[in-house]
Amino acid sequence: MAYIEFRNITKSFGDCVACHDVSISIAKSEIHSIIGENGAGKSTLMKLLGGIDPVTSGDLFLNQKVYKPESAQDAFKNKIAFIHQHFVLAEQLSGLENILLSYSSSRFSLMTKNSSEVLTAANQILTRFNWKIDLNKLVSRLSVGEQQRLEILKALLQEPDIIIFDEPTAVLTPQESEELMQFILQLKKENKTIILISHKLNEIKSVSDSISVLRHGRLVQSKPAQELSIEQMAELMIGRQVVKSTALERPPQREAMLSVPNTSISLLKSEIFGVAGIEGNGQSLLISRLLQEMTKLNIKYGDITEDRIKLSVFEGMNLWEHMLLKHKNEFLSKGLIFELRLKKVTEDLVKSWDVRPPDIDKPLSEFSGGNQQKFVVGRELWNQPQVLLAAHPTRGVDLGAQEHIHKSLLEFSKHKKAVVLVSSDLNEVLYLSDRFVILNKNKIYGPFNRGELNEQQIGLIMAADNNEGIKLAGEL
Amino acid sequence: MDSALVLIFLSALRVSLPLLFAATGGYFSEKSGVAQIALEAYLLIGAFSAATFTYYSKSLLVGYLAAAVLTALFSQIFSLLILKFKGNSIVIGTGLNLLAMGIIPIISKTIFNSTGSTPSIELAQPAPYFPYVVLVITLAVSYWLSEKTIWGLQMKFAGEKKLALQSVGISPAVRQWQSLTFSALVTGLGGAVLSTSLSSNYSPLMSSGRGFIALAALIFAGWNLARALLVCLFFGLCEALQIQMQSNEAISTYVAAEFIQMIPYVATLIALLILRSKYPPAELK
Amino acid sequence: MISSLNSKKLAPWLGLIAGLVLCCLLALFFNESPWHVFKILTTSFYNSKFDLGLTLFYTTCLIFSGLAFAVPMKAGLFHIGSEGQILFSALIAAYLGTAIVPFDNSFSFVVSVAIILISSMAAGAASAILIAFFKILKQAHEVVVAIMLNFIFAAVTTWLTVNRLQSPTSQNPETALMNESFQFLKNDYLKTYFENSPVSVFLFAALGCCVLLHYVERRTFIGYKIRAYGANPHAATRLGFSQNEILMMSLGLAGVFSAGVGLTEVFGNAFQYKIGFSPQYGFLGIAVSLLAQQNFLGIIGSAFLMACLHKGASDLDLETERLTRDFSRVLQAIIIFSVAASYYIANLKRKK
Repeated sequence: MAYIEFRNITKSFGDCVACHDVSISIAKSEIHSIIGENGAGKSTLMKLLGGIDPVTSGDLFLNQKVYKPESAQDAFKNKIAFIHQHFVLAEQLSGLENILLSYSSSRFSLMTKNSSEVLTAANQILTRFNWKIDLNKLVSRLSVGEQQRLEILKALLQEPDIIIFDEPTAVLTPQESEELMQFILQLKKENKTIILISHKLNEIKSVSDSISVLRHGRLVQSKPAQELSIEQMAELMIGRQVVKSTALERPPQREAMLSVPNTSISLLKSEIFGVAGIEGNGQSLLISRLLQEMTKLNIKYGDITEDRIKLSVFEGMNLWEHMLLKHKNEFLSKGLIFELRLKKVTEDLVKSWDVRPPDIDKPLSEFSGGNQQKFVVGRELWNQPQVLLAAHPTRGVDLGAQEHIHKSLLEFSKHKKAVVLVSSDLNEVLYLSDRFVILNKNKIYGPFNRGELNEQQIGLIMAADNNEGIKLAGEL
Repeated sequence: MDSALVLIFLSALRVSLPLLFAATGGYFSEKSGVAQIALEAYLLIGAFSAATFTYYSKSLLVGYLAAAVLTALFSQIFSLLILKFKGNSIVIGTGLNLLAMGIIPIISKTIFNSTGSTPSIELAQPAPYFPYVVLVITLAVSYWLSEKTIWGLQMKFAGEKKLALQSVGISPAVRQWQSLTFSALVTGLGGAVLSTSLSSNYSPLMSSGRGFIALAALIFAGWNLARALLVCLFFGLCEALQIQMQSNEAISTYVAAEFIQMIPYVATLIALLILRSKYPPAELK
Repeated sequence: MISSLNSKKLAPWLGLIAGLVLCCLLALFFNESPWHVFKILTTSFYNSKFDLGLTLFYTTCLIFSGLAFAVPMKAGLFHIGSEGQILFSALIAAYLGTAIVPFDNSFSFVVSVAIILISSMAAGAASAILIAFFKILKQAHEVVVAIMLNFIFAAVTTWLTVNRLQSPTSQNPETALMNESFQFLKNDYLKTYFENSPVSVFLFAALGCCVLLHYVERRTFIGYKIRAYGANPHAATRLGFSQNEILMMSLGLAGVFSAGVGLTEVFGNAFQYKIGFSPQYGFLGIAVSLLAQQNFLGIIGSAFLMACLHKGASDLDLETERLTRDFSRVLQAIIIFSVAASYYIANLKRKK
């Protein structure tokens, strides 16, 4: 019997449909995982349950009763706890203060804080799970793992029946992830219903009772976990067979074009050089080293940044202005801007990359994520750079655009160019790279050739605490 | 010599009274995430209301109450424009300062037919300790509100992490509004001290930058109220020294009063440069 | 799309009108007729040629101070430090005007004038770059630093005027008049035309600055660079733009414009530094710039409008019983408020 039920749920933001006619039912005291690629609609679906966003159409049922949350507070009252991927903690307040907030009501009241009671309750939970967090410390002084435990502790103190974990292991070290999975199993024993959102298939397979797979906002499968293999899950998620590495046609002898200082990595002409690893293991350091080196050597480079909104999009500036900012030298004559050519070039770019709508006077920030990314990739490739730095090039992009971007990376690399592909999506790295390295805690392992390691081996290096005996290319 | 020192310290405490109030007021605004550069306006409004009401009632208590209430009312303009109309707090704060400076002379002309100053206050009975009593009560209430109550915690979350507040169903804007109103109320009391205790009438622009000094103290102290109050006492000491020196020609030929006046501002700039950078509330805007 | 763009551009002007109406209604509280107040505010700027000249003088100052706020705003900086820079640069000009005695030939004279103008602008720029310096070194908030600097400059200029540069022949706190030969703008064409009002050739300089900036912003890369930094500093540095350069340039320029206000007063009007000469031009510039939404050509219009109102308000002293020239500040404040609110209302409509 369904405990939580999503019935024909559709959620759209303006013209963009994030979830389309999704129906899932979840039984009491089970661990139900929702998997899917970035942008598949997993988090959106959970935000509906958590009362953060309203449903566009369809119904939610909780324990056979219609459930229509209007705010996060409603979810809270219905004993649903939401552990966000990005912690909702005030960093400059202590752990205890962060917990105390959940005990407050929206009514204006001058009640004094019941610190000591809450502290006792919190300590009880901490000892039950054998956790150690100094609750009087400021949150900013706690490690990421401790912050997440604090977030969980905050939720558990409200004695929820349903706990939603949104990508809980994205920022955790491998041991922390393992401990978290054990913890989730323990919660299940205490009769809690758990919804786990992730795209890490291994960990999901090990703990889940049932699994729902989302792809492009649609439910493609919902089954008991034992009926799905990891390969099947991957296939369902991506919508095609996981590509096994096939050798690309490459010239036998390739010249080196650039080496990264303090490491033994050198980029070759005509190759895609992959950088795999869990996010936050030194990717940004490696990227900034590369950028510095290329600026120093005056190498023409394209830069698809790791965080589009934060690093590539200028709010309120339109497409041709973005074009100008990147390729200023191409459009300046005697210090003045050659506007006609600039607009013409931008229009052509928009056409060839099928950016929609093809309006070059519209601010880039008002395009959808996929179209933004297409424009950015097109812009970075426009002047035939020697090196292309592509960090998470297909993040938040629909399948069609993804194919387009992958193809153009491959095409680009053929012409004596180098691509550095930084991605936390292992499939992407394996699919595209000629050689790749693996980042783990600011250490660079590799480089490995295509086919030298299989997915499991790579996963181990990415996650392991200690990678002794594996060749090291340097440290960041 | 000792008695001279004691005198200087006593006068330092006296002249730092408005600063202590204003810094406490500023604390509640900034901690709730709203940058507050209108303390100057609140001091002026508080000072003028207190002077006017004390003049007519001959009672300090009435004057102080009027200052608190009218300043709190005046601050509703600020809250409305920032919280409801999403105005920028710096722009609106600047506007509020202009408004206070502009409206007081006109009201004063209407009431007293003078170009800005109010007539001298005559009290039924002198009450030199009254401002200190008010200060102690204000500080006690402020400490209790900010450190002991759930409200204080929620107010801080409005400044540190709005999302956390929203996720327990509390509107950050409501807490900010309450905090901003309290902030104005307290600062208005500082204005009352200025016109009724440190002098005996309201004179134009008599806050002379004290609102900004209080803000400087708050920043200097890294948004910690207790430290900010200490810094205010230090700035007050500077002012007391300056007053001493003006009466002492031997010194004033060597160091000009203007330079002593500058001390709070220069000290704050130096503090910004050399002290370990302390972080303002995360969502301070 | 087009109508929404228009509504966004129109919003501040509607705000201005709303503010004006509010102000006039406010006059009711003081037993004055709103219509009477409105008439004074809006018509007194052309009572006489002299009055119009005075208004144009205010316009000059407000254009410069509007620019001093608008340029850093493009880079996302709230520059409220203009007031201090105005005082400092004005004093430097006044001091050099008394200190430098040109030889009796035209070359020496031109060089002397150039030294005075450039030093004053350099002083303005340097005092503004101080703000950038704090921001670069310690990520200190520009508003906080600017507030502190405003007070410091006010104290320093007061001290210098009273203790070092006081005019021996005057009872007022002011410096001596500049060297006779530097007072050539007394015979300025505009001044003569407007019956010896304070307006001077600096008006054309201010207008020129607006036009030049408008052109530079659209046709050269610098404008885009500064705007990009204002829109997203992280992305701008990732594109390789230097943060230090952008901060120093935008604030430095702002300082130069602040100096423009100082020079308009010292070189074009008073020929000496008088304490309290500025009715807080630095802050009035905020309203000017907001009203024009940082559009450089729009600043000309909004500065003239504000100047008319400022002139009108200063006539309230004579023309009404109770309203004083301080009403100008009330007016500015209410305009700031209603313009700020109008943005929000325009955005609301856009979303619908």
